[in-house]
Parts: sequence; C-alpha cells; structure tokens
Amino acid sequence: MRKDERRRQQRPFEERDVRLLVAIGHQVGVAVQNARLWQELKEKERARSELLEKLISAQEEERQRIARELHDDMAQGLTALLMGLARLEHPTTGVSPEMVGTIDTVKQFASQALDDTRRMILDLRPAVLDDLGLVSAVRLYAQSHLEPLGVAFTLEAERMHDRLAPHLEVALFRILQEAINNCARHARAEHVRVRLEHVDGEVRGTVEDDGVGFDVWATLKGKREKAALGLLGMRERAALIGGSLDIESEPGRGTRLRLRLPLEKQVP
Amino acid sequence: MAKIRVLVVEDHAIVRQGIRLLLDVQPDMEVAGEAADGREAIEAAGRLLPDVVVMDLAMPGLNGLEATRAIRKRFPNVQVVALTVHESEDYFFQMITAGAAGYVLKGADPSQLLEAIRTAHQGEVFLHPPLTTKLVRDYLRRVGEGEVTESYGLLTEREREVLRLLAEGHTNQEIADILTIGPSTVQTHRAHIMEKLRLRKRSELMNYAIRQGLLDLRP
Repeated sequence: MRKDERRRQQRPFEERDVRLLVAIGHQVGVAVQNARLWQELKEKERARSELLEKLISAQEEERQRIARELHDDMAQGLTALLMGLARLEHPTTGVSPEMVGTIDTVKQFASQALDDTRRMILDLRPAVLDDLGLVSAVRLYAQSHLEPLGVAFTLEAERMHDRLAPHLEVALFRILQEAINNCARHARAEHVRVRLEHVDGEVRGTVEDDGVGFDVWATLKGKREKAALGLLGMRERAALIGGSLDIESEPGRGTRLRLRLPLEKQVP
Repeated sequence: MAKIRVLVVEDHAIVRQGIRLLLDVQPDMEVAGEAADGREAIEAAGRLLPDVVVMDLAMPGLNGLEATRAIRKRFPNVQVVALTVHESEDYFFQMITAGAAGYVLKGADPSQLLEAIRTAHQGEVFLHPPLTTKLVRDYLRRVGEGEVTESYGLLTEREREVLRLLAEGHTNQEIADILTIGPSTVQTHRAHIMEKLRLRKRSELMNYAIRQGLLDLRP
C-alpha cells in the first residue's frame, strides 16, 4: 500500500483530534462573533450619524423659522413703532415739550429692542448666510461679536466667490461660529484672524487668535466637560460633511483651528 | 417749494404704515405711492417718477437690490434710499454699487431716514455713519493691496485734490483760493476729471468720491 493511500484511510477521531477541532471551532466562533459585532457597531455608527444629521437639519430648520419670524414680525413691528414715535415728536402734532423727552426715551427702548432682536436673528440664523453666503456671514458674525469686546478682527477670503451647497455653508458657518464664540469667551485675544480659501478642490478655513490658549489634550480628555463637548461637537459637525478639524493650542500660545472640506467627494 | 415725492417700497404693511405716519407730518415731503415688492416698485417708479424711493432689501420675488439696479438704470433721476434691518457691510456695498444714494438701518433714529431722503433729493449721499467708516477702511485696504480702481489711477495728483474739494462741496472760486490757482484752471481740472471718470453731473461726482472713500461723512 502506498503512503498517500494509507493517509486517506478512515480512522476514528482520537481525543487530540477532537481537542484540535473544538479549539478551531472556538476560534471560528469568536471570529464570526467579532465580525458580527463589528458589523453591528458599524450599523449603529451609521444609524447614529444619520440620526445626528436629521437632528441637526431639524434644528437648523427650526432656527431658520424662528429667525424669520423674528425678522418678519418682531423687527418690522418695532420699526413701525419707532416711526410712529418719531411722528409724535414732530412739533406739528402739538405735543408738549415735557412729553418730547419721554417720547425720546421710549424711542430708545424700541431701538434697543430692535437691536436685541437683530442680535438674536444673527445668532439663530443670519439671513446674510442664505442671501450672500459663508464669507459675508462669517464677517458679520465676527464683527458683531468681537469688535464690541475690542478684539481686532481680520478676514481674508480667496477664491470663495462661488456659493457652496446650502447644507455645507450652514455646517461650515456653525463650526466657524463656535470658533469665533470661543475666541470671544475664552481666548482673551487681542487679534483674531480668519482665513477662508478654495484651493485644490477643498475649502480650507483657519481661525487664529493670539489669546491665552489651552491644553488641547487635557480638554479633550474631558477635565472640563463642556469645553470637550464643544470641541468634539465641532469635529463631529465637520466629519458629518466629510471634512476634518484640527486644533492646535498651548497655554499662553494662542489657538489655531484648521478646517478642511474636500469638495469632490460631495454629492451635489 | 415743491414737496419731495417719496415712493415707499416695503413688503411689511406695518412698516409702510409707520413710514407714512412719519412722512405725513414732514412739511417738505409727501408719500407719492407704495409698493410691496421689487416688481411693483419698478412699475410704480416709472408711473409716478418720484424724487426718492425708500427701499426695503429683503422682499419676496424681486428683491430691493435688483429693483434698485433696475430703477437707477431706467429712471436715473429717481434716487433710492435703502431702509433695512441688514447691518452687513456686504449688503451695503452691493446697494451702493447698484446706485443707492442712501443706506439707513431700521433700528436707527428715524430722523436718519428723513435726513437720507432730503440728502438723496439734493443728489448727494447719506449713509448710516458706522458704515462710512467701513467704506473708508475698505478703500484703504484696497489701496494697500494695490487694487485701486483703474479710472481713479488716471487722475493726476492735482486732479485728485480738486475732486476731493469738489465732493466736499466747495465752489470753483473756493477751490481756486485754497489751491492758489485761477478759477479757470479749476474749471479745466474739473472738466478733465469728469471726462476721465465719465461723469456728467456733480451728484455723480459726489457718489464717485464716496464710493472711492475720499469723503469722511461722519457727522
């Protein structure tokens, strides 16, 4: 009998064969389970992203609706009120001189309320974002939030003339808005520089300040939970549109935030 | 003196009523008509030929910017004053470029609107004061970046001086005195400026000077 024929001969499993097979079976089982868990995790991650996207777009719609109502009802009503009060001040209406002072005060109340309304609209959803695009919206937002604090602000925009898809503009604006708010609230900066450019098929945004800076690693590890959430939120928002966010900072050395969004991957 | 005839363009009825309340008591103004969107505005401007249009920016359909452009092109004698909640300098630059002679914020004291209407009627420009600062800064930035507009670059140093003085409202004689030159020389400079910049009237020259940031309009 030849050697290979003898090999093919059937023989009962011995104990060590069984042990080997059981071991293999376990390994296969674990691998299958791993794969299944991995699949499940991916599914869940996808579902989570989808849910988050829905949540964000629902929130954006709601913000836009409230901003529009504030603009259409509140702001216009206050404008009419101001005009009416200005009419009362006119000498031909026969108003007494002592009333003129009161009217002027009330006029200032209306003016202040209108200013507040304008600020609310700007924080909720600036009309300029939808009308004129990202650069104009970032400029207005930074000016109105940094200049009153005495923080100098410069904006450079290159090859940003073409409008981006609305959901991209909104997402980029929200990230930059958060970055500008951080500059205003925490950085104690003297100067904030924002740069937006369209280069090599991607939109790049940089927000730099010369403020107090912070320990990025410690913050992300969550020692200050709110701050960590803020940074993670910006990063998440960038990831949802296929972009990335990079934050560089050190205590005493200012902060630089870099945002990149490749456009070719975007579905129109 | 004839009253300044004003066309009020605004999609919110409540604001139209407010403006009417304000203008009705002005001895030198009257509301010639109202329009609720850009298309109506162009039609009304052609029909009524008002002196000044008070124009809202955000309106359904044809917006205030496009309506301003069309009105200034078709009826050059009709002046436009923007009245808006938008404080963004980008809207403001667009409106000025479209030919508006005034830009007033809705939150500002209504006396600014009245002043803007009167100023525009005289062929001059009234701007919300903080925006003037922005205009000058923007001009200086463009000069710094070497992006001075081509036509302005054609002017000689002396012509630029004359342009600034003219825009500030000086007469030929006053300019002659300030620069210690003859009035006929001023007249020649003036003719050259108008020709180089392709301007016809003093009011256009004023608009040009403001657009170039040559004038500081802060009160």
